[in-house]
Amino acid sequence: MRKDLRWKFWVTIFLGFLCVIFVVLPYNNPNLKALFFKGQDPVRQGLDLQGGIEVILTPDYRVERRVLAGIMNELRDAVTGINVTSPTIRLLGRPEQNRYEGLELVFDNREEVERVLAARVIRPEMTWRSGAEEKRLKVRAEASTEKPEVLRVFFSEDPRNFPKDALAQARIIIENRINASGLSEPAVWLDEANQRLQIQLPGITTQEEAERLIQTTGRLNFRLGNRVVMFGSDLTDARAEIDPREGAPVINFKFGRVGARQFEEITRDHVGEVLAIYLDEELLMEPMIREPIPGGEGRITLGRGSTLKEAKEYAVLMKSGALPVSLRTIQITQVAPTLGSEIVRQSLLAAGIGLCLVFLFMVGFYGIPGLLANAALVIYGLLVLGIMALFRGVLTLPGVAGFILSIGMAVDANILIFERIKDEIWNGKTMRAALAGGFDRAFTAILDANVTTLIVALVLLFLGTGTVRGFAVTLTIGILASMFTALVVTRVFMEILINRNPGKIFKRLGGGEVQA
Amino acid sequence: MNLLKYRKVYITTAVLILLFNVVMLATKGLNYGVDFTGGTTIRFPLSKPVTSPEVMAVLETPELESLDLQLAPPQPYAYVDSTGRQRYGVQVQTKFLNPEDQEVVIAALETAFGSAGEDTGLEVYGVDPLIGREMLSKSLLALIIAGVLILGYMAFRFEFRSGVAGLFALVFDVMSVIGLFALLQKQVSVTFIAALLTIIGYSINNSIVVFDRVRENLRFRKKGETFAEVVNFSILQTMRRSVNTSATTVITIFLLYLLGSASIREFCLAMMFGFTVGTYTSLFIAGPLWAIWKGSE
Repeated sequence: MRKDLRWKFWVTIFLGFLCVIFVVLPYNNPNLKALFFKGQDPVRQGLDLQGGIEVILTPDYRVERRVLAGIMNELRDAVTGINVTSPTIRLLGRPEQNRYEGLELVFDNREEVERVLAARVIRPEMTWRSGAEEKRLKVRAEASTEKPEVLRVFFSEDPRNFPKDALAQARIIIENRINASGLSEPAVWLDEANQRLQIQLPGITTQEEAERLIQTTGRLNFRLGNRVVMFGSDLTDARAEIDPREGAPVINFKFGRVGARQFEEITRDHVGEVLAIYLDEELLMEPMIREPIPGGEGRITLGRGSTLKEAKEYAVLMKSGALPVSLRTIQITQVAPTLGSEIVRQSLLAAGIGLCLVFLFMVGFYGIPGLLANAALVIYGLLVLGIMALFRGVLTLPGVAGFILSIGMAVDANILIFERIKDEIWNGKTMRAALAGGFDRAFTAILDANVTTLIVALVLLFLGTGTVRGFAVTLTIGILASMFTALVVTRVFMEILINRNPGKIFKRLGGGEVQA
Repeated sequence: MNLLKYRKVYITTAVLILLFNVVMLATKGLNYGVDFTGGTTIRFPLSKPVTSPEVMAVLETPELESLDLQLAPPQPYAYVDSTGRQRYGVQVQTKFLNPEDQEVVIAALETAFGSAGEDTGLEVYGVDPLIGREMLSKSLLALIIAGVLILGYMAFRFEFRSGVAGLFALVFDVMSVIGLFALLQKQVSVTFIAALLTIIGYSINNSIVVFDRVRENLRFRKKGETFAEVVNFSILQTMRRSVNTSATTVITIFLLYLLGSASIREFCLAMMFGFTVGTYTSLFIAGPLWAIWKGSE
């Protein structure tokens, strides 16, 4: 055997072996799994194959009812200032966590609506103040298309009301909560540009469970009377326990430096008053301030009727409520685990039968070279899985389709090469010259075809979302691996075979019919 | 054999088919799924078949009406799973529901038809209309960018005219699949876009194999041989490979279509149809168009 062929052959076999050890064996061997993948599967399955829930959250900039109630009069004053009759004002949209889209102003007729719009008395920005809170609001007024006498005023919070890295903070908090639950392989991604938080909870089957994990994504706030005096963003700890002296459950809590100072001021000025604790718009507790609390470490004593379990739940809610910004769900994907495994079985079956057919086809059409191409295809498959495992890629259902597709392209490259070699033999070349010529001539077609497909895959990779991206990933890896196997692996196998027995292959490939 | 004798017929037919598909799209429109319109799709598994009105009745209680579901007629479905068991279910489509409302709807279905339980294959997919619009524009952008990049690459590797001929074949392929989906009113989702892009990749792959032959044969062109003759010869040379490759791929996808779950059927349908059309266009449209354009000079 030629020297370069020998090492190329062994490198190929070695690569194949490496992939077997890296990807195939760990499925049955927990030790290898722990060694390579921290105990997880080599190729992770996407949510659609594994089952589970994925939600995408975005900051909820809709405005709370109490804010809208406050702004209502201001809006009425602004409108009646230009001599139209005072409109009836209603809340706009269906409430979600007590937040609304805006307000609906009902006038006497269309003409009044037009006048209000023309006078531009509804400014595009407004500021709302109450207690410690100040909110900049973005305002958009729009005449209703269905009801002529109705003016719709949409309100949303200005993102500047929140810290710049609010979503990044929220991500860390949610991640901690999920990790604390011991769920295997959860994932949280932050898309800063689009202000989105994507959360995957594999193996979770109901929204309830998901909610419990992500938990009420609200904002903890403290209120005196009906005014918010402080937010819980700076709360660092909350723990429930039974107070031995009183025999009742208590919650010990702790603020960071800024929160501690704020809390001290409030408790000093309002001894004897009730400091209500809300999660968003939901009342949690109404403890009374007994004495000023310096240093940021305080204790809430719950009534005798309450249990430790209750106290623990409140403590968890207080801690988890410390999100810097409220979030709302904008996309939900929920797949039952059985459905996922059913899809895996079906795809594997289809892929298995498909592969068998392709193998038979190749052998039937090209004989021993076809067999070699099949061997190269097996190495190709191992390579793709190996690369997927190496980069911890996630296999989704479209990803499986992308994989099957790239198998098609790998076969295609082999067909192209064999047809070219046939042509060369037909042109009267010797076996060795035909082999070299065939590979050389097929190369440009394989290159151009793969590069264009790669362009498509990359476009998908950068613009696609979610599952489509999974498709693009396997397709990209598949194309690169298929070029390598066709141009290197098949060639090495062919050369070795031809070195051993040139006449036989020559006959097999030359024996095919000749085109017109 | 002179395939290119009827090249003007191929192109005229292609233009007519293309027009037909454009008319299909314009008149019937596409049946956009929740990916693009926003909304929630619940695939609720059942132990026995039901009718659409039965499900409708369950979901039109006063309590649910207050949620303003904007319910589309529920679609019952049935399939045989990989263990050979007959399975039933119903697909319910509403406006985008927040998690709480979604639980209310599922609870109503569970009360009426028995619990879906943990082990039966409940599937929920909800998209806010805001994201839907964004997905649609992103998808269109992806198609356009992919087209332009391919044109650029072809112009660089071959010549501008071949790039345009290849691109026309691609537009034809994509429009054929879109036309089919408009005609059958099959639902169009994000995976449909993935299918279109794959078809583009595959079809351009086929055209390139032909063009590559043309490029090579031009170098060994005999005296007096016209460009059309070179193209004709090249197509004949590559035809067997094109048909072989497409056949193996379409067979694989057809198996996936037969065995696969309902959720990937439409994906497979688009690909099978697109690949078949793509094979035809790479042989009978891309090459001949290039020959006509170049031959006319």
